[in-house]
Amino acid sequence: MPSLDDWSSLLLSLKLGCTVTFVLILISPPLSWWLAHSHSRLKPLISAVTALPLVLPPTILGFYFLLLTGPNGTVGHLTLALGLGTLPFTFPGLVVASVFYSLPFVVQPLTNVFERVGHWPLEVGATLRASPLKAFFTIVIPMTVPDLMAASLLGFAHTLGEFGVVLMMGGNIPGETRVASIQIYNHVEALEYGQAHWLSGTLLTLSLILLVLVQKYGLSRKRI
Amino acid sequence: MDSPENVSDNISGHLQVQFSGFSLQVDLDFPGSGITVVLGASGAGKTTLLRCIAGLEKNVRGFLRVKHDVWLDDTNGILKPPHSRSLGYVFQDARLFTHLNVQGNLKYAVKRSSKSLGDTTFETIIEACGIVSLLKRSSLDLSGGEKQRVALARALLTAPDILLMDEPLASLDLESRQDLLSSMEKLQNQWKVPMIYVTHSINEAARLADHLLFMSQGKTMAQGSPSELLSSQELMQLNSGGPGVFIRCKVLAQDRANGLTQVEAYGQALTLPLQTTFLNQEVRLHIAARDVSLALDPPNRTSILNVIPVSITRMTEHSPGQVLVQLESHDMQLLSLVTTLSTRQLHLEAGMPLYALIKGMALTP
Repeated sequence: MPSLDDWSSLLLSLKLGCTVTFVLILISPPLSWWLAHSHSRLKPLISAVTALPLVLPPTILGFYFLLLTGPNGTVGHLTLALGLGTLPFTFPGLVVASVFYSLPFVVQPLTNVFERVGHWPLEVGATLRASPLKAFFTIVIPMTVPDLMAASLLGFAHTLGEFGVVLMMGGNIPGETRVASIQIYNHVEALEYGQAHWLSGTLLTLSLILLVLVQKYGLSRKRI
Repeated sequence: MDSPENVSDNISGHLQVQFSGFSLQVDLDFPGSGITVVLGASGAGKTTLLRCIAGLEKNVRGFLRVKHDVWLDDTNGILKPPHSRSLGYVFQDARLFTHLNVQGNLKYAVKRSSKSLGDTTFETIIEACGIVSLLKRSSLDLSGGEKQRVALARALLTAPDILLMDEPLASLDLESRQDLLSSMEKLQNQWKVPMIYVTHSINEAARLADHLLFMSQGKTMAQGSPSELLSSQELMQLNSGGPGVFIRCKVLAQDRANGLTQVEAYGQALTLPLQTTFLNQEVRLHIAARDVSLALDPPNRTSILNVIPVSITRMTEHSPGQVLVQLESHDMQLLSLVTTLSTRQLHLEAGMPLYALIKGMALTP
């Protein structure tokens, strides 16, 4: 039977997933549009940085995040100076690290979509009196809502499943940073396979459902 | 053109833009009403010119005034962004918003229009464009012609000072072309929105143009009245259409059973595929020299619908092996491009009476 701790870890995972996805939905469309259409010399670098989580072991990212945001890190100095304390081993710290870690899963599909869409919605928008910013929000975004949904679901599912970054950055604090994937690790360490099964099975089912939804949104269209 | 009203009512300027391997340098002086056709072969820079007028191209230099409004003046640092220019633009490929249905596409334009259009104007525009029955349809399920008519209505619903059209008929079948052309003529009669219409088709230019600008390799070759320019052999030489004549006809009869329209010019009847026009309407045709054949006797069993008795006024060598024959029938001038071999075999010479044969299909825009 799942314990109270199991439930709370699962809830924490969902809370983290929702928060991270919300942040991703805000920052990914502008970033993706920029990556799809900018001719800036910085583009390859920015593109590579957002893709890092795809190739690096999460522990490496987690490690450097820990150093950067710790009391002796650059970001840590800043957050301390602003009176915010330090990020490691807190829920906000988890959110920041997870946003970075899940970013490519949202940004890359969106960049592809925006590349395929091209510039024409902004041009047509301009001939219909819409400024570029207005055309982006009133044409490009509504036109790509299904892609946005699919990309966000992918980001959400990925956030639920992460382990390395969360462990390095968040540690193992019940109710604060002990998410479901960490709790599973704890159970296995303690040879509590039954409870590990329960949590693992729940996450597995959830991820499967999310990926089916991604497919459904991603494929059920002949648009653009 | 020097009276104050004309000066403030026309569209004038000079535009320059440079790309790698292509440069555009055009002087504009268009009337502020009617249809101005920009004619030229593909690659002449027609679309680029339209995009420069709309402000969609970057790094355009020069000056542009549309009616009272200066859109570009680089010496005084004036550059209006495209969304601040009062224009409508019909793209070659319609470009409807795919997430909205037809009505949604139209409402988008209405919402952003600077002037408020009454409900009646909305109704009249969608009626003239023939899209009343399409309002609830998804923009993905329309035919090419329907898409273009929706795009035309969408562009007009912003109440623009000028309507720019980039080869809107290029991807359409004959019937859709006819529908769209007649919609445009209807709208032109009702609203008088000046239009700049880009095409490579001399026939479209002949049918629509009140004013013509002829472009080649990014430059203005000539601008002026269509009857003058379309009959100019030097200019038509530059276009892929080759030499030809431009004639004004009047619609005599509509033969719907056979899908034909009969027109009359200089007392001579001509038959062409059915046009969406009304009786006595003026239709302007371009008859390309290469579509006119010659015969010494009237052929009695032929598919050629138009057999016109003419006489030869002049013969000039057009290119090696080809002769351009100038013909006259009453006051109507025609040109025929034939091989030198044919002129020898038929013993053609100036003053000779003979018959000009014109395929009906060749006379359609």
